[in-house]
Amino acid sequence: MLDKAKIARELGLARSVMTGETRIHMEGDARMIIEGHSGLLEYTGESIRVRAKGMLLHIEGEKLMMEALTAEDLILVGKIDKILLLKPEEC
Amino acid sequence: MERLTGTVTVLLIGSLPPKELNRLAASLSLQDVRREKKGTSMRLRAEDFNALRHLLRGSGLKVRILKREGLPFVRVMLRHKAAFVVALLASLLVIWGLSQTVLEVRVSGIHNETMKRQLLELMAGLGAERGAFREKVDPRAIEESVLRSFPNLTFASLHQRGVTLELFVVEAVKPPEIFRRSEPVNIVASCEGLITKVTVLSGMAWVRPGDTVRQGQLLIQGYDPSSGSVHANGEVYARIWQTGAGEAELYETVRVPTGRAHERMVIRCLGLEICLFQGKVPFKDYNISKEGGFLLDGLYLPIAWEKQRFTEVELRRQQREEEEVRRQAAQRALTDALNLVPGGARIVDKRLEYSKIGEEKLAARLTLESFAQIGVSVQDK
Repeated sequence: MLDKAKIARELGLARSVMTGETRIHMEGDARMIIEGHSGLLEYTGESIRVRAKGMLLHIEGEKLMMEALTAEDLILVGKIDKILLLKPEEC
Repeated sequence: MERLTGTVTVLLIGSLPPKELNRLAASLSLQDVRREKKGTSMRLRAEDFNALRHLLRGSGLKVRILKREGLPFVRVMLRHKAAFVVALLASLLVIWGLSQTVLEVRVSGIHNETMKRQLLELMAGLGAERGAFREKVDPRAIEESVLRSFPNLTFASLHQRGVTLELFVVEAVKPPEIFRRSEPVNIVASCEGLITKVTVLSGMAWVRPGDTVRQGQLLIQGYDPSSGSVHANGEVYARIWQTGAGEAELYETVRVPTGRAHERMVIRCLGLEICLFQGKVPFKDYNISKEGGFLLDGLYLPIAWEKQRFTEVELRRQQREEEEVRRQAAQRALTDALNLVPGGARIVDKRLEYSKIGEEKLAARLTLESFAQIGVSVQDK
């Protein structure tokens, strides 16, 4: 079986390009960009749960707002206090 | 780009579960999604609004439009406000017209008011006058015409700064007077005095040291016994006395502030003055301080604003200190006397006398004694 992560490393590519994993960028604690999510599970002004490939993303904070939301990408702004990466069995 | 296509901010009243939100996000581009007390607000493109309503059909959610932004909505708004659009366009047209018109013409670089007026008249004749269209003014032609018409000017440059035309000119420096030896000239006394020294380079001396002379008296004649008429040349020094007078008031009127003040704003445009607030000054005697400037630095609109502050004063008559009155009168007398002393003179003595004129004034009389060259050349008639 092909090790996509290894191929990406050999070719000098970003791992997510080959594996299709979710990419997360943060700009301090005020902005977070999630690329390649699989849908929202929960959304309030204080917490958000997003389904990502092979895990669940749990974000807590204050005055959370989704600056942009599409089928694959999400830009979250507000004061982000906590980020948890949960395996599906932990949820 | 969003401004061109238009956006709508909506509030979805009711419970919007994440599953439903995912369904909307799959079809639409949602922005600024946030939970509100009554539901969920979000912003979307104007063209997606109908799709949103379609997607929410049967979900039990109500859609309320909170804000419409962008060009499509401005266009709709303007369609119902034709008068506003016409007025706006007319205003823009007037502003454009004013900005393309010459509203002020200035001449700088010279202090002679008569020449300034003549230059302005010449410029007006060439089309550079108030009310002219800016594009029609040809700076090069005006500069050339100015230099041709005024030979005493060596430089002319016409600048356009917004609605103002400014002609900057430089006057020529006059060449020194030419000494013509062939011209018969006498030397006479410029003022009366006691001759102390006579030096003759050409011509014939008519005075000697110790003589007293009056103003205009012949000192060196432009005549030589061997060659006839000549250009008299030489120097005649004399001891001269010049008297100057000055006066100063013994009493003065002082302006004592009462503490009351009044402010108003004035707008000036094309010679018109408009008082915006509380135009009438409620005081009989007052001091005024002004602060102001031009709108947009006077670049495109000749509109000036000025904030005027009037401070009420009470006029009181009081006696001045004698020392100060004497000093002022003496200073004025000195200024007067110095105006009479010829250039290059050496002052050797002075005498100052005071006298009262009635009860109101003090007069000072200052006599200056000096040595000076008093000979001046005049054409031999």
